[in-house]
Amino acid sequence: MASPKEYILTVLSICLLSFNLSAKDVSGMISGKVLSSDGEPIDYATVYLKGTSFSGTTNDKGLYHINAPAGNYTIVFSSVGFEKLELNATIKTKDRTKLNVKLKPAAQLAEVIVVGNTLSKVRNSAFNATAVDTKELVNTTKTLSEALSKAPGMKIRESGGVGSDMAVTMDGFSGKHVKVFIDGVPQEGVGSSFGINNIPVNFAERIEVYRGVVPVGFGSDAIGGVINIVTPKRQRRWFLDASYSYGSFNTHKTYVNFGQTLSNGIKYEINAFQNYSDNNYWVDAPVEDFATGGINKNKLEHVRRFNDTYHNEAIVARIGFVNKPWADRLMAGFTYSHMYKEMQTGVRQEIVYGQKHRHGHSLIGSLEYGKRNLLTRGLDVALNANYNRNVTLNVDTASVKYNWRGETDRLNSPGEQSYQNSRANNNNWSATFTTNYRLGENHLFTVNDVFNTFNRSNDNLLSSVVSTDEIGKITSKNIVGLSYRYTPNTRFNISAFGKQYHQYVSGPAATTSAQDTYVKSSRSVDAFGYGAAGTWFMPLGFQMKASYEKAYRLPTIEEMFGDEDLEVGDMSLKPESSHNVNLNLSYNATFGSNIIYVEAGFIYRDTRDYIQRNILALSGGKSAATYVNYGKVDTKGFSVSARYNFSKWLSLGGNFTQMNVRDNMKTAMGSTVANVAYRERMPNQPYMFADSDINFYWHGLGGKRNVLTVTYDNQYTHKFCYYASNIGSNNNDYMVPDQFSHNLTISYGINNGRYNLSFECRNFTNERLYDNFSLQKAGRAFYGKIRIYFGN
Amino acid sequence: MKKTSFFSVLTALAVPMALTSCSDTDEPNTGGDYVGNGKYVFAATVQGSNATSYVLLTGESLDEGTLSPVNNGLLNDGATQWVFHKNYLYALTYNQGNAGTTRSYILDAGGEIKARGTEYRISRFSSYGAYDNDILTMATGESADVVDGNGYHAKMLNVTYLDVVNETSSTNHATAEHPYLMENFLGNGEYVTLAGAEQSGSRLYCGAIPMGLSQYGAAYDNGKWIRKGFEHLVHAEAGGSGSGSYKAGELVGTQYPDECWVAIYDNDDFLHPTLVKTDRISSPAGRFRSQYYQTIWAAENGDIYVFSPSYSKTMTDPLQRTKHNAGVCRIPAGSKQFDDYYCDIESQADGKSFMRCWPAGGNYFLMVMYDRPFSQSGFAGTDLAIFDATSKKLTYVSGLPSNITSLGKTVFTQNGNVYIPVNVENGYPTIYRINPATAQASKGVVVEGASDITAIGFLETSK
Repeated sequence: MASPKEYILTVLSICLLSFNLSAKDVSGMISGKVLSSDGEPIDYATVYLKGTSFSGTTNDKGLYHINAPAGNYTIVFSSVGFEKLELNATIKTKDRTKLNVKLKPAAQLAEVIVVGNTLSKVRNSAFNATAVDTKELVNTTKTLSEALSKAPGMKIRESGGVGSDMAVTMDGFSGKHVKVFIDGVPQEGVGSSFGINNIPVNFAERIEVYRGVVPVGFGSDAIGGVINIVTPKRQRRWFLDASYSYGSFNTHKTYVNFGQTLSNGIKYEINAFQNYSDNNYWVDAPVEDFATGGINKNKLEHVRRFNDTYHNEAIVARIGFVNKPWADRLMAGFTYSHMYKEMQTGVRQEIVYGQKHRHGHSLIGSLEYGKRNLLTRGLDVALNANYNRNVTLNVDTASVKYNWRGETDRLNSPGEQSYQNSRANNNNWSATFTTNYRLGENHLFTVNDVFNTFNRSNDNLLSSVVSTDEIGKITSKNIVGLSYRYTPNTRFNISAFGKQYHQYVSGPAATTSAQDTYVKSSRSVDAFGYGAAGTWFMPLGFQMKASYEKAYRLPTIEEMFGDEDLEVGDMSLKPESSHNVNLNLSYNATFGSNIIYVEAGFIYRDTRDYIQRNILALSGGKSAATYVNYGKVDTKGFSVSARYNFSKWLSLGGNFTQMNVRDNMKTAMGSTVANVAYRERMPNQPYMFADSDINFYWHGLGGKRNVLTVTYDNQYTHKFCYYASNIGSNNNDYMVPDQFSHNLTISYGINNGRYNLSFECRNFTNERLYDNFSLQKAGRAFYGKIRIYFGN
Repeated sequence: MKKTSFFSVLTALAVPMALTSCSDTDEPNTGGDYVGNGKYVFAATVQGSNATSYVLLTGESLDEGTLSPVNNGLLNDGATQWVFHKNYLYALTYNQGNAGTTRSYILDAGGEIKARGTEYRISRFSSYGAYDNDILTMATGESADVVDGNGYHAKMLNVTYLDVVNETSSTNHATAEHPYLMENFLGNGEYVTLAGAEQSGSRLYCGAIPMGLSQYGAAYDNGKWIRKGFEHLVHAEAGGSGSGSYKAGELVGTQYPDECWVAIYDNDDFLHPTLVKTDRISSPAGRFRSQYYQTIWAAENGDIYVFSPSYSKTMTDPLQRTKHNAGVCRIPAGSKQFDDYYCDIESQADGKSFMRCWPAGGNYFLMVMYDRPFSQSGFAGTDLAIFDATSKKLTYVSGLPSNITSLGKTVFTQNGNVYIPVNVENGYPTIYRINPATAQASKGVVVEGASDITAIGFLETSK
């Protein structure tokens, strides 16, 4: 008979045995990495020992570990979008068994499902971030900017057809307030021949959109947010992705991407693409009559565009080493791009040009280096350096004027709008340094520094003796950020960060009011921003996130120097600043063959010190500055996104965004009297828009591994006014009308996407579409595309 | 000569550079006596946070009351220059940056301001005027045909005629016989810009402002037009920026600052001008940085008064500075010569010059005076004075508010008074009425909510 002491000891040890954590004596550990067959780590995958309660999830690096008593088990790995994997495993006492696995993507969801670990990484982060999966769109003729329109809160406004001027609006912010990155490299000042409105959607793997609160990894003064284009890091030994499309308005687009990773670790990759279009679609516009010199604005004629040809070509080459002990990735890259664009109209469709055009090219050299666990465990380092030289020529030398019918009339002086043949040369250097340090399981420190300097000079090519500006314009920016993230467990994490902005500009300033002498003058601006973000993975598939940032936009060199009518030593300009707040709730669940994702987001922006022209300065008043800080805008908005997938047959989803962007400035510029636009909606901004799409998949049609896909998608924008809505009594004269456009795509993939053929009909109801007041976009258009994809 | 038509012409001259910002024009709206019903028209700008709107407002009075653009008035695209002429309002707009078409407005039978159906595309202008039924816009541009061996284009005159009655637009046409060259216009090799076009009778008077040597003029005949001792002023490299930018080979600013030239045309074909000169004042154009303003005005009796602010005193190189004080000379009615009339305005104002001026009825002129002499930095045009051409006396206007931030770019005269918009600190733009005989100002209409009033005038109701 056991004594009470022995009895207690036995009970105690049994109790102790049943605790995972303290059962050191008789337990061991199994751990390892879970990767997809592409080589990418899978985060938040579930790992468990079958028939027991021992389980764990992989972290964002795909690592898992389970402590369990020694013995033989069946270990199960599962993650949404992948086939479940079961293996035999043995745990040895006081020992660590290593088991790395690769999961195969679930066949039914191969090209379709949005969940790939990298996309979910963005979606699950604490920031108000969305990732647009461009892999879904590889068989369409869309450009990156058209793919972006599928993200909530984003509005793309184009002024014409292929290659036309385009503005990206994010939550009411546009232009300089939104910055674009490619693989974390800032694209500011890169030139117009390599931009998101002319890069095909095949170039990227996904597009990440960070709204309002930007992680320190993107060193930029993006007061509205950041768009990051992520190119595929293919881990395959070799691959080839090539496509060609042809369509309405003589549009040709080609894309080629191939590369190889050799066994000695050398990897190379080439990306090349071209776009060409005559953009000769029909528009309804009043026509200038050369006999009377008048334009009858009440009489619209159905005319074709004739000076709107656009083409661009680009080649991106990268070569380097991967997966070496001294570098995960060391790549040198080179990019060349060129563009040519004819200008058909001014800011109103009534003004027509027949020969005015612009062309340019850019050359980029880059170097990137990345290494995880450099020198010590937990320290990851990435370095990126870039040199970009781009040239843009604006040519307007014709002595002829044109009207919409293509008729011509002689001009006395050359220049349809303004005689010029000027070349703008931009030289842009940028370097990014990021380091992450993981302290233990729960702490992550990140330091990031982005340094950017660009200088601009203009050459006037109008005469045989080329004259160059004596004093060029230089801008240098340095942004350093530090962030700390605390992850106590897989359910919760919180980050806090600070950013220091510094900008230096120099350029010519007049020293006398007669403007006959200029000297080099320089200015500096500094600002300190900060913020925090947190997320909570709630039970039952809900996730909540909240983030805040005090963000800034530094004044550009044009704004600091004003109209260049300023004298040296005039007023300095403060950066624009904004308090940005995001709150999101999402729900993600799988019920048998049904997969649902719904996200609702609420945003608030309190922006002040807008930099704008002071119109009063031109009447000879006391103040000489022409750019001032004036203006406060507050934005409240919400967006809802949803996606539903049924097995492998159906996918449908959409976004709806409503913004309330109001002028929040109580007083008029430089004054204490009331601003009459106070609390009115900001003009010339779409404030309610939506898009949706529905996709049907017919697997096995014509062959076991073939798929026929039919997609219908639409876009809706509620009407908005070009001018302030409470001024004047005739707002209807300046309305951009309600826009509702519909597109249809049919594509057929053979042999698991090795060969693809697709047809698109855009705007199949032939609506009159305007993103901007008076500038009409194309009517009904047809495109066909063939694409092949090989890889091993 | 008494004008009975609604003749409003604002004339300003802006430097003819590709990147010029808006050219300010100031025009006296000499309404004369009104025969029909009508309304006063105000072109207002409303500036909000990062957004500017333009609106045309109508009102019954200039002397009292308030107007508001909130849900009132006609929204429009604004204008580079508003011109009232023969009961039509034109929004002159040239095609640069965001500018669009030129439009015209009338007051319809119901008393509402309304846009007419025809719009025009007109080329860049730096100056404007009117002649009979036409609004004229002028600029000195490059000739497409006359080009030298270096590829430099000769400067030429471009004129646009806007017929306000027939709603047409036409331009002068350069031919081999009439190339309309502005090079060597005055015989000294320099190219000229015309500042303003003032009609008196059937003649057109324009200030002929020599601008220096263009690349074409400086290279002509191996630089024969470069004055001895001025060679260092020819720019070796391009430079400057914005409206002050210059190209290599240009000589910016005239080499003859002590002369004043006026071009007199017998009609509006801009051919065969009579060039008259006086050596007592400098160039006849008002200046503020890149803005040039008309300073040649016809008084009610037809005498043409030619004012010069001597702005070239601010040039860096002493060779380009004038020795004359700001002053005024005269071409009597019907004559094609300056007479002996001269008045030194600068010494009556303690050494201060003026930025611009307008006729204020009779023989009076309203002058916008700089607040300090050119020798001191930071001079700005914030003071008003009346110049009586008969007594040659300058009197500062009294009764204006003390906290003026800027003065309007446009005036309107009626019943012997002159009206001007005034911006004050912490207030809305207000119209002030000035009695030129007494130089007294009194407060008039306030446009609440506007940031600026860019034009005032009067339109009769159309039948």
